[in-house]
Amino acid sequence: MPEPLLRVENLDVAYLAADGPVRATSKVSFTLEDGEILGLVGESGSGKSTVAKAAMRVLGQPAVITGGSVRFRGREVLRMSDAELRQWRWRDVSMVMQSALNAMNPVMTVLDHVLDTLAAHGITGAAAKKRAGELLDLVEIDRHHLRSYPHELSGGMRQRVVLGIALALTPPLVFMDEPTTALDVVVERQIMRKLVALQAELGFAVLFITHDVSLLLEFATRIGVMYSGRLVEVAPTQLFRDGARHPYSKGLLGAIPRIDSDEAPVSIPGSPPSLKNPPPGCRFHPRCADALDVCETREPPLVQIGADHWAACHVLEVA
Amino acid sequence: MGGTARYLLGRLGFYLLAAWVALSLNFLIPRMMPGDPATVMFARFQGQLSPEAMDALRETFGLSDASWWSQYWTYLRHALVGDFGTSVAYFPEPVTGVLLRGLFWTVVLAGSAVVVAFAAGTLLGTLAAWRRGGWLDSVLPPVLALLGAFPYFWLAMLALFVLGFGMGLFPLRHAYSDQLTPGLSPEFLASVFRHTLLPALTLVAVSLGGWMLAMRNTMIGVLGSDFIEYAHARGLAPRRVMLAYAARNAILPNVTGFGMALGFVLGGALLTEIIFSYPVQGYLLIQSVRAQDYPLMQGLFLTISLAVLAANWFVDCATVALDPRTRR
Repeated sequence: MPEPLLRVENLDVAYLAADGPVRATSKVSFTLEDGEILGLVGESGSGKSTVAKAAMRVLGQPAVITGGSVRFRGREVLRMSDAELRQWRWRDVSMVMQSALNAMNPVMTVLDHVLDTLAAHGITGAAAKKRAGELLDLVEIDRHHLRSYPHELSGGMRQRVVLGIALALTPPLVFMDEPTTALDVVVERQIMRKLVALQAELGFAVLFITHDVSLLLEFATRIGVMYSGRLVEVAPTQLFRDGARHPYSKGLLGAIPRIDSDEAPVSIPGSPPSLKNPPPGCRFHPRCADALDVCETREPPLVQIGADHWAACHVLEVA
Repeated sequence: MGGTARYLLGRLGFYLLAAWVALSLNFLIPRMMPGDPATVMFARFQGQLSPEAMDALRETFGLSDASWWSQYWTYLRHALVGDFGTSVAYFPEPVTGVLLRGLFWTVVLAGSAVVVAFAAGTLLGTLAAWRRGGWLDSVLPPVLALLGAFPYFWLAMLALFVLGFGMGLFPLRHAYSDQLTPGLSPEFLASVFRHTLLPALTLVAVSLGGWMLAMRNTMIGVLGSDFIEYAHARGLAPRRVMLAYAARNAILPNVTGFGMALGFVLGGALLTEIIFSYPVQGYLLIQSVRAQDYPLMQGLFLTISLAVLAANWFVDCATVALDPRTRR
């Protein structure tokens, strides 16, 4: 079996705090194939951004990867040297950050950002300038904005620019960490359509992180649900929409307002657990209507429950 | 770009207005003080001066009973061409000559000390922040803070005593060797360098810590920004991230401080001057006040005010150049 584009296995990340480490993710495993859009959805603090940053190894202090493996086309990312890492980043995997305003250096122009990125990978001079123009064309921003500073662009334009920078070296994989969260819904739609069109044209794979499951239902190939640092269900989008099995996934779907029915959206009772003092057993059991006795004591592993369908839930094992 | 030029010209206009206010205050304040220089001069000659000579003195100093308005007008006209009259304390040398001499050595000593301290402190702060918790970051700040906490005159005297007198590494006084005639000869320049080194080093030693800590602290804040993480994620070389992203953005407050420090250089380093017998401007200031040397006082105050204003404008220009967000 050929190696997938990205294989994350049992990824553990801890935040070192003064009173002991806090486990931000534990035993997160998934694969990502060429050209697919995998959406990771979860509440704030569920560890979805941490997974992406850990996979690219850009986690800052005090976060540390304490275990697991991240393989890119079979190459172990966690064992790359700093120099190898610099080469690998952006040429093979790039990222779009949540806030383009904060991601860009306020005292540098759009062109400076593009040129710096290209120069770091050996592209300089006229070729780099030409590429910078092409990238703006790609995301449909007028070329004269190469001379603009980040604060001179609107939020949507900045996000497009950052998307263009992510494609500077046409990498096969792009991590997107809530790229549209800071935008209004109209601009969000425009950016998402642009993204999907570019993805179809260039064929890169996307790890898309969001808290908006309805966005994923529309654009993702597969959907993964994270809860309290764990991946609790992974399924292809169609399967997920019609047959999500994990009680938390069902809760997420039930919370989406619908125009085609009179049913009111139902929110999940309770609030996400603290990572510092997580509940024993399944972390979702205090909020779960179907919880069994075993849920309070033993943590359910992520197991295959159907074709390409994985879930971590005792209730499903019993049934 | 047109907006930027207009903004800087606007600032320049404001500083010119401020310069006029300084010029006018400079005219008014000494005239509100009791006594006058001719009386001082008269007293200095202990009654050996005839009333005619007294009148001649008053004439020379431009002390007239004319209205303040006409005096003010004359003052402004002369000030514009750099004529501040004749010094009382250094009679009969013109004020401009006395000023230029002091100004030159002030720039050589205090100016170079400020530039070196700023450059070295900012660089050290950059490296300390980049390798936070490393040896540079652990050792240097407390040492420099300790140096900076010593009374300056004590530190300077200690340096002069130990390094100059005790070990004979540095000359003990003056800006250049008495045996040399000032000029551009290599011997003279070398002598100036040798004489300036120790006083400049003491000035640098006490101010280095401030520059370093300010830069370090600002840069640590900048290093926490998303755009640093983004720069690393794009595979940029660490040196590029450190200089073009972190230090570049953190240096702004230090540039403002640098401009202010440059402005105050002309205030002179009085203690340095006294301890090392170095002919900078600080002593002139005291001398002129003691001798009620109005023309010299006015010249000094004016150069200091103008230097501070010029430094402010320099900071404005530097800020606009370094931070596009300040451009209109």
